[in-house]
Amino acid sequence: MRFLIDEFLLLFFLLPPTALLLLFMKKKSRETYYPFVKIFNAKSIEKNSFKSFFMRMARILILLSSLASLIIFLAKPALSSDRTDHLLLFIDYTPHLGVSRLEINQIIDSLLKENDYSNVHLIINNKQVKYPLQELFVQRKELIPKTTVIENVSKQIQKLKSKSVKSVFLTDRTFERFNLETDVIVRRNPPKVLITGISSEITLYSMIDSPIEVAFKDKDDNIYKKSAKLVKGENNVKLPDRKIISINCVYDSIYLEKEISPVLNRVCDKTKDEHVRRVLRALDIEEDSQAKIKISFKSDIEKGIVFSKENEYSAKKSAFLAADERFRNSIKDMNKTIEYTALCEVPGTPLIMTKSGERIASKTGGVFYIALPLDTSKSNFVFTPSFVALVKKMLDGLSGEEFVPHEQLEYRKNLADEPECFISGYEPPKEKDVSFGFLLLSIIFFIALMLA
Amino acid sequence: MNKKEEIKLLQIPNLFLRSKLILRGYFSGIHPVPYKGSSSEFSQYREYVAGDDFNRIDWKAYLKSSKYYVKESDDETNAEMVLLLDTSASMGFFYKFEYSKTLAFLFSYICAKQNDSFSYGLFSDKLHVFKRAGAGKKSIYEACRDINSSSVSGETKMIPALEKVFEKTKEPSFIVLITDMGDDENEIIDSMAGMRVKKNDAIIFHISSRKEESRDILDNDSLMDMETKLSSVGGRYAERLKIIKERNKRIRENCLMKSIDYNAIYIEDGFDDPLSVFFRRRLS
Repeated sequence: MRFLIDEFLLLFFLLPPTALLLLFMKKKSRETYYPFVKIFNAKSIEKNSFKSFFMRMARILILLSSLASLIIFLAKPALSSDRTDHLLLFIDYTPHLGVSRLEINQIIDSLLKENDYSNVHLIINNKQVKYPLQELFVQRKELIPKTTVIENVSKQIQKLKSKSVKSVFLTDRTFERFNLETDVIVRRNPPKVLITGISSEITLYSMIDSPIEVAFKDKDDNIYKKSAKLVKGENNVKLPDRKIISINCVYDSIYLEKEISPVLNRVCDKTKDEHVRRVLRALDIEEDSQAKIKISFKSDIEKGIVFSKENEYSAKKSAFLAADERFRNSIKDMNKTIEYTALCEVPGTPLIMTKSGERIASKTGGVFYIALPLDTSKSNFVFTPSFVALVKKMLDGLSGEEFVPHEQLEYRKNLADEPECFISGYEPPKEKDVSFGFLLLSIIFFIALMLA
Repeated sequence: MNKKEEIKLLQIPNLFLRSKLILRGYFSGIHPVPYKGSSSEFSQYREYVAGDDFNRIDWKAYLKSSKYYVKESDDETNAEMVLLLDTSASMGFFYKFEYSKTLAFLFSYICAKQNDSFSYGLFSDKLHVFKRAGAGKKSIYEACRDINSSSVSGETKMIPALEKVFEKTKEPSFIVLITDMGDDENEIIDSMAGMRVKKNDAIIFHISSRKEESRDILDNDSLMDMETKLSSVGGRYAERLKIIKERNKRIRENCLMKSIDYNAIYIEDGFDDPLSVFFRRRLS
């Protein structure tokens, strides 16, 4: 017999003192005095007799047996068996994983042919379903984040509390880190054309040379069509000059969470500040004096970022709070590294504030304002990672980049690659979990104790 | 004085003091002393008939009306009260014995007030004490001393005690039995009914506590008899309560059938209410 959580077996050391305690503990009388019990069919209890001593010993033994069984149950015992206890099949049901209900059943059947399993657990997109699969109902529009999938696989394996678990993961994505005891089967059956990029135009990755019609839909269900002649490899199709919610190119389609416009990826830097330029270079953003998004020291722009120089005042550093959810992650880093002696006044709705109520970043219309000076003698703002992160976040918001579904596009790019499976080689021990039997035994002993 | 205060008084170990306080409350309350017993209080005149005692002729009335009238009072003779107090171990439950002692003493006090003669007996498995105290204050102190010094012990075996009392009583008396009916109820009732042969008036005060019927006690797996140390094991609250209620009902019906004045008293009800009910019924 093997124990999964053998730490619990240490509790056996507590049994002898418990036995001694029970032996020498003065029996707490459960009897109550009553004026006369003749009226209730009284029967005599012979005290200090052999019978009562025997009964007491028996009670102690039953209690100890109950406790021992409970300890063994907690330690999760397993007996060697001729088959593996659990088979866990996880299916990462992505938009292009072309696996039908029958195929899933066939996969499990083939796994069962290879090896004998006592229990089969089928989990599709983090939801447990019954095997054999009668109906396949999954939401295919969205991708479950990879971290969530990995966490869920680990959780499900741990939940079984058994070493005799064979886990298999079926996906068409590429996972870098995964449970080493899980076999990862990557099955790809990509469509002939994939949408792999969205900016001012969409990128289509084609495996064929063929004319195609791309349909764009806005939230009022108006459809705008564009024709293109695809060649093998990457092709670009210009987005219509309006906001769209979905893209369909016959072979592939993407549903967006929010409406997006063609992404503006050029910026006009009016500050001519060397730190701002460095950031733009780091972010691969082209400078263009005609670009709609502007970076300036003055609030004379319609769309862009203003590093305010208005009414500068000396200020003491205090912790930052994010009034806008988008900036919550940036705040953590800013609170650690940033130093400043002065701030400038900024108008509009606050996005980041100090605890003492000073505005650090705000927004009015299409303009973001930053109160932290770019002057390094007054603030180390430009030397901190928060500077790049904050500018990127603001530019993403202004350009429309923020709403581009990068994970979906990344997924589609991967689909064109060759699949790489991972066979763990882990052979789970063939054991049967017998802990439930001990729990039952413990309960039976306990009931016997109550009746004795 | 409310019920709670009356029960609190039972904690006073001195019976005389305790009884005095209860009596003060009782007499000063809204209830008049209802128990007249023997008194020479005038009730009515009636014409003399042959056989009436000459001493009872009202000569003043004769001078006025030239007719012989006999003066009648409420009670012609001095009544005798025989008070029997159960001192078996079962009476030691909660304040049952303190209550019973106080009740016994209250009766002796009332008797003395009305100049009735008073006897008392203390018994459990046998008659331990039986004394004719007589009338007057002195007898009260003696009775008080005896009752106060008594303690609970032994099993309840009423028959031998009642037989002895039966032998010792000669004139028709009030036989007041204060007990928790710990013996066989039919035997007790039969014995008390037997007392009526001598034209005795049999009165039973069945003393019990509400705790005896509470879930706290009756739901215990094992109940140990305070007298025999035998245990009743495995009973449940509902069935035990049912047995008690049915037994009490049987006792009441048997007493009614055999013309015994049966008074069931819960000590938690104090003295005021149960005594008022008793005396009111006796007067009616």
